Amino acid sequence: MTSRIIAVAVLLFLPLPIVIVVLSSFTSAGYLSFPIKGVSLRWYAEFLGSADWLRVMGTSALLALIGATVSTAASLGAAWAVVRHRIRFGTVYETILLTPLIFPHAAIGVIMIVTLSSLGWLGTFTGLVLVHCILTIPYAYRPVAAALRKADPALEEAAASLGSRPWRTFWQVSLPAVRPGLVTSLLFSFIISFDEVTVTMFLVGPFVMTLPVQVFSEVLESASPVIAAVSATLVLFTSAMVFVLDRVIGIQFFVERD
Amino acid sequence: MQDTDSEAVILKIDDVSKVFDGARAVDRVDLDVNEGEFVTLLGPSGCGKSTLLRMIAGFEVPSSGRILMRGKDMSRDPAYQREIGMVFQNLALFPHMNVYDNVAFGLRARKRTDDLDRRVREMISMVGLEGFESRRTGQISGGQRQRVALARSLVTAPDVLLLDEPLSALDLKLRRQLQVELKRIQRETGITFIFVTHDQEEALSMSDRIAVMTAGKVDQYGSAVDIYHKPQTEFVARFVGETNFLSGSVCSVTSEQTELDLDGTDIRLSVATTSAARRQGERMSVSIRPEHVLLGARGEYSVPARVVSHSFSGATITYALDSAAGPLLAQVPFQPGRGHPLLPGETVSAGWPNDAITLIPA
Ligand SMILES: Nc1ncnc2c1ncn2[C@@H]1O[C@H](COP(=O)(O)OP(=O)(O)OP(=O)(O)O)[C@@H](O)[C@H]1O
Ligand SMILES: [Mg+2]
Repeated sequence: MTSRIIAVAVLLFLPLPIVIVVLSSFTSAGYLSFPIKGVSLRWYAEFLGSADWLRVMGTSALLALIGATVSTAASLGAAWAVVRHRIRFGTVYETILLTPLIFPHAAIGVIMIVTLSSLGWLGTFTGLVLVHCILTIPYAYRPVAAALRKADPALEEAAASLGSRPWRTFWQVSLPAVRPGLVTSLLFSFIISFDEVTVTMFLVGPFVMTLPVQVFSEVLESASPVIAAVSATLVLFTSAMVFVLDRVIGIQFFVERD
Repeated sequence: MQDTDSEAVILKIDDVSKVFDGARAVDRVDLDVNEGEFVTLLGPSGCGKSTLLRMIAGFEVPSSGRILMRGKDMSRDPAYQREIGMVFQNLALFPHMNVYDNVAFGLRARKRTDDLDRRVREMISMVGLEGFESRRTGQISGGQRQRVALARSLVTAPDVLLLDEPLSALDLKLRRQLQVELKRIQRETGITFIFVTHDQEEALSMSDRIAVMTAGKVDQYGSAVDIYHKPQTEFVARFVGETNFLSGSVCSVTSEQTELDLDGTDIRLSVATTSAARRQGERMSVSIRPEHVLLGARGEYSVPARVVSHSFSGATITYALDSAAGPLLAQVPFQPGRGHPLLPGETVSAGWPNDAITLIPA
């Protein structure tokens, strides 16, 4: 009985901050507070009417889109080599790809400052794309590799024996066979990139800024409820993506051991 | 390379070997396949059947030797350039396509799209799958999947169709039914089939010629009748059907007759000399099929024997006998009302006719 109460309490408690953020975004007061004073949509109007906010949101979306695409394509190539061609040291290579998961993000931030400045990419969009690719690759690689392990290599041989040239086999047989993995990979890396704060914080500059980092720095400066409105929008957006993901493949595809 | 072979030879395997990590999966195999022939590769698991098939298909490159198609060396051509179809053991149907698109794939890949619809439908009806065109491959039964795989690989009318144990996953009844159908389709299309199985009954009932393989080598290549009745090695005799082995030593060889003293008896066998015959004094075996062993004092030769056990299987009874020449199996027809079966411990004379004997090098 007690364990049940604890379980229910935890389940209620987990989404509580989200509920509070969403509720407080509808306040009519000029400062962040909870419970809210009156109901209004003025902070949403301010967010969506602000060229600055819309620009950073655009940057974040573009960054996440490019990052997810590049990560997924790179993962497909890497997984192909490891799973299909059984390259030497394949498992070592896989482990290296997954290290950004366990490496402290603050340390990655520092390393990336050094790396990007030596490349001359610090504070640029290109630099952010590179870093976001590195950060999302672990999330992109696993579903792609899992899908590839599940796909039957005889499918490609069957296609070849039917006279299909390699490019046709790739587009019509190999890619469709791993499509669930690719979709999962794209959606997951998009979400990870779109929500990334810790490492990105080290690397933004006057010419490039992402939405979550902008939220963070606004919080430090002011307690304007517009931040709650932005956050609520982020929550909504991310939930929508997860919902789509679950509909298309089912979350267990990613959680499952490959 | 010019074509020096007879016109009927469509596929020639010329001294082909495949080495994996130092192990010879296929060991110096020579094989000719005639146009329109149904050839079976028969052998136990791991003897190299699939590896040989995969080299013909172009999925593996021979370590040495050549594979000639109509006299042209194609050992190193990529698979998609060969006119060779394949039915895979696990079928490998395209899971994201329906039955129609699976069957149409080869025509589209080879850009033979005029008349595509008619040819696809014709093939689908040949394998009896009308009405299933828009089903996904996951929504049909195992036997139907089998038919899709067959239709898919036949629609492009390949020169040779390779089938790697295509029926092994099916239950016995469906298997028998598809064996018959496979033979019918092969006759109707006239396409050369190379069929892999480790089931000797399947091989005997379907093939024009059988290549019996063991440990990467072809032990014997010949008609089903020859493989069964004139096995050339002990392996072939034992693998294809059941047989009795008796041993003896050669006492004289002429160009026509070989005489052999059978161990443990005073019987002197006199059989036609074959390539297997040896010099005087050498050890040899003879193979006698259980169904050729006669009970009672019949046949050219006979030895006294004692019944050890018997097993009844419908039309026949198989006796395990202990004879002066060694253990013998005798399979005799069972006719109800014509006396009782012999009981363990009874003695009987076991014989066999002269032409039931096959000489095999010991
Ligand atoms: N890719 C490979 N790498 C290493 N060894 C292999 C490879 N493919 C096959 N072999 C080995 O070659 C030998 C022959 O294998 P093959 O698959 O041709 O046998 P098979 O006659 O088809 O057997 P089965 O009836 O079980 O399918 C086996 O010992 C197998 O382990
Ligand atoms: Mg095999």
